[in-house]
Amino acid sequence: MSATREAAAAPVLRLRGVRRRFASGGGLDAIDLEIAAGEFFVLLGPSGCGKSTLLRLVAGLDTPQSGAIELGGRALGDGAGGRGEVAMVFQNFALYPHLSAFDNIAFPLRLRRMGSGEIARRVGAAAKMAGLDLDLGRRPHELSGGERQRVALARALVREPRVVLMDEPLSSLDPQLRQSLRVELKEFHRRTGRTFLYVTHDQTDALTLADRLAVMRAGRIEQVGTPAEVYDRPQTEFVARFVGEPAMNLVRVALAPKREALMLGDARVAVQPPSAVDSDVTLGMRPSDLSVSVSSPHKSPACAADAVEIPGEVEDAEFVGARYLVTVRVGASLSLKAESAERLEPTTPVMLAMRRARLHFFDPASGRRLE
Amino acid sequence: MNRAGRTMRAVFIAVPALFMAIFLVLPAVSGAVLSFDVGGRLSLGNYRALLGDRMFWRALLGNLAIPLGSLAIEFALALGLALYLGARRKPPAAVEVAAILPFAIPEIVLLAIARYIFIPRGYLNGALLAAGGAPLGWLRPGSALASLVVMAVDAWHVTPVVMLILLAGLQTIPPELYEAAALDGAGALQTFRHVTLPLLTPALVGALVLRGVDALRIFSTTLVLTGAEGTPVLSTYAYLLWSDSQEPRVAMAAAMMLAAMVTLMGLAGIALGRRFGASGVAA
Amino acid sequence: MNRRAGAGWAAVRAAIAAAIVLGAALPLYLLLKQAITPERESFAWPPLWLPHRIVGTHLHAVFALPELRGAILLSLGIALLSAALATALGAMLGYAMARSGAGRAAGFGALTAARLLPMIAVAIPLAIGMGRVGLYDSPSGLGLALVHSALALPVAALMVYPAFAALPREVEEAAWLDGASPARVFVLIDLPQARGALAGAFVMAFILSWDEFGYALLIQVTHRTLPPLLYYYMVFGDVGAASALALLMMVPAVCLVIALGPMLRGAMAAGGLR
Repeated sequence: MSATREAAAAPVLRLRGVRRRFASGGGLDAIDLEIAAGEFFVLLGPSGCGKSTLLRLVAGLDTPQSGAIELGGRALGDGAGGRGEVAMVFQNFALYPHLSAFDNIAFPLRLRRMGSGEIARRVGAAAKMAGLDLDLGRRPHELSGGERQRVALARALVREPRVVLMDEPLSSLDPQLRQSLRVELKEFHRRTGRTFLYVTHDQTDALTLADRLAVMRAGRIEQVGTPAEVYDRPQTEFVARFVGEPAMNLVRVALAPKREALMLGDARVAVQPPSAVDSDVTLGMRPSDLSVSVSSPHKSPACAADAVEIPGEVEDAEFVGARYLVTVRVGASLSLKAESAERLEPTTPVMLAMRRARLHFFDPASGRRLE
Repeated sequence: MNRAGRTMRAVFIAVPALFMAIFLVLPAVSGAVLSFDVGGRLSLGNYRALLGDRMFWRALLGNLAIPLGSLAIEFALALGLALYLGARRKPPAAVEVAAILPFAIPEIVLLAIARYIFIPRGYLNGALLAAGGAPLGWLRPGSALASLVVMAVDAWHVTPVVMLILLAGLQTIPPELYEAAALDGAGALQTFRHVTLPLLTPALVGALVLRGVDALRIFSTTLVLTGAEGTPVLSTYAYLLWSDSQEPRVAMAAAMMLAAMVTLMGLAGIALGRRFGASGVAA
Repeated sequence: MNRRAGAGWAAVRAAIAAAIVLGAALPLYLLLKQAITPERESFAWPPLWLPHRIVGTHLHAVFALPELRGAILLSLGIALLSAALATALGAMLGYAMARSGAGRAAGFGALTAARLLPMIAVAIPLAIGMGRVGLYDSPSGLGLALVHSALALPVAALMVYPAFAALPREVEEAAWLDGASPARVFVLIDLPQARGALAGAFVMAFILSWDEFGYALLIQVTHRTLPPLLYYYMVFGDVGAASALALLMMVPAVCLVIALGPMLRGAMAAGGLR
């Protein structure tokens, strides 16, 4: 992030104690959030976690039952106020089916009775920004998914809103398109410097696009931070599991007597737990942090000072393109997933190693991170 | 959005509803009140006058017999037509258009044609004469034959609509069932009884209720073909009381009796609809 | 249907087809004959099956005689006005039906009222009431037009309701976010989407009014529309004029049937009313 942007980081959007529950279940519970101007902020969470509800509240399409939402310092009132300053790209694009692409983009401007010359200019500019390179006279049903997305984006941008809201805009596109559009969106945000609030259940979207993100579950925010923060230091078990592909191994381990080691099943691992731990603890290890090496009886493992070693046996190896996802059985009843560059046969004895610093500890009862 | 739109939606309900209330519901209610008005006082006198009028009883009877007959004819015809038109080999477009035509033609025109056919020196008697037979009094006032003719003509006009509804119902029957029945060795009649009829029942019941309610309100058919006194029904009876005898109150009493019959039919229809799971039948 | 193999069935089907076509064509032919032959021929006994002399007097009278011409114009005016009103109000109710449960209740309630209330039970009090406000038997037919609108309104609403329901809420929300008030969203986004259904509703309401006999008979007693006029011509034995009028009355509906043909199947089965 540029220095100038950091300097201008006054919160453009602020939610305080926002609550919106539905009779059918689901909704939001006491959300507090601040988003700085120019940020690309992502709301990440599984379906039903309330992220779309939150987005709709910011858009003014719905009103909170309690709490306050402030946009640019002013309260969002009963929804009418936010309309002009907020633009939204819907999941299914919500383009006006009977209007051409040009008219779709021009719609907000026509509502403000702008002159046709001015409209043409701004539509052209928005279309260019959104990477639209086609005949704008075409109707939505004549456009491909990617093109429709760009029209929706152009329509959102044409009135130069304070905040651009995006509701899972990539989810209805095929993987290749998602990939390239993701890159474009990032680029696009850099160029325009607008504030983006982006909702998704896809953690890849979140990690690649976000300046900061909030992980949500069941109507609450579990953690807010930069992608690196959330990835490297997840504050709860849920965040640890949800963020990162492939998912983190989370195993319940017991303490060996005198807190000298941890028991992974019946395998003893020479690791000292954090001071806060005095009984069972949940241990988190990312497969990408676990290296797999074939153990041989004659090889004496060169152990780095901060390395943790876990012996095991290969159960299964899954080819996932760039590498193999290996399932390693540890002890009698535990399985861990690790990444390996080479294919390993089942029953091969292996040694898993990872750096001590990359271990995560969580309280089994509350799920909170323990340091 | 939802909040802001709420006022508009309320207006969108209120204005049409008000319109309907003013031009349909209010008159009906005021008419009902009128039916209980004798010399400015609340009374059942108008209804008593009805019960004492022989013509009323004839009208009441007619209003039961004629719709019943009409329904029987039109459903038999419509079912036959629907089975025929719905068969795998599509009939020529001319036939399809011809089948729908009686519905497209305004009722009054159809009645005019029917009148010219059935009157004593009409085309039907002419044809009979040419064929060596004797002319009949098709529309003789008060005769059973006249009632039959009225039933037939009424049915003729509406058969296309019923046929369309039944046709739509037939289309929902999966063809695999017919194939299965054929494989089991079922003949045409058996297939009809065990495959077609049961699955057609919801559409049949729906159409019956819809048409039943309409059939009870028969008015122009009798008026044009035989005149109001020829085949009396409640609507023409009430009409005469209003236009000839200048007795709006007694007329309204008769009209209320008809309204009661129709409401009963409607309620029966709702109950039947629930029982037979008739889908897509409004009210 | 069952495999209808065999020549026997083919013969039956042919006979049925012939009967249907004849049953529809013959009466229309007779009407046409009466409209273009002198009255003497139409009163002949035994009846004449083929025209002997073709005259244009009746058809000419239809367009020349003030009474007849007036009735045509009156019917046309009332039909157009009531169709416009019914479509406009029906669009409102149809939209409410698509967007709210209360709307749907109102819509189906309106349909019930229109279907169940017998004409005679409403027309008599209506005639009385309209008499008090000067809408009874008016030269403009305004009173009748208003009744016809009320009769067609529920069906119009039912016809446009699916078209509105088919538009996803998100598109309306997008328009609202773009700065359109709910009314503008309705006019700019919803109505264009329902163009086809609105046209269909208009046509349906037009034909309903054009054909309507009962209310017209009771409310427009001297300034008559075509259906009651036809009735009176028939009753007074004016065969030629009646036949010509009847032919004229068929024009809108027959055009429609030929134009829409196969599409009618679905639409009429849904509306299915007299």
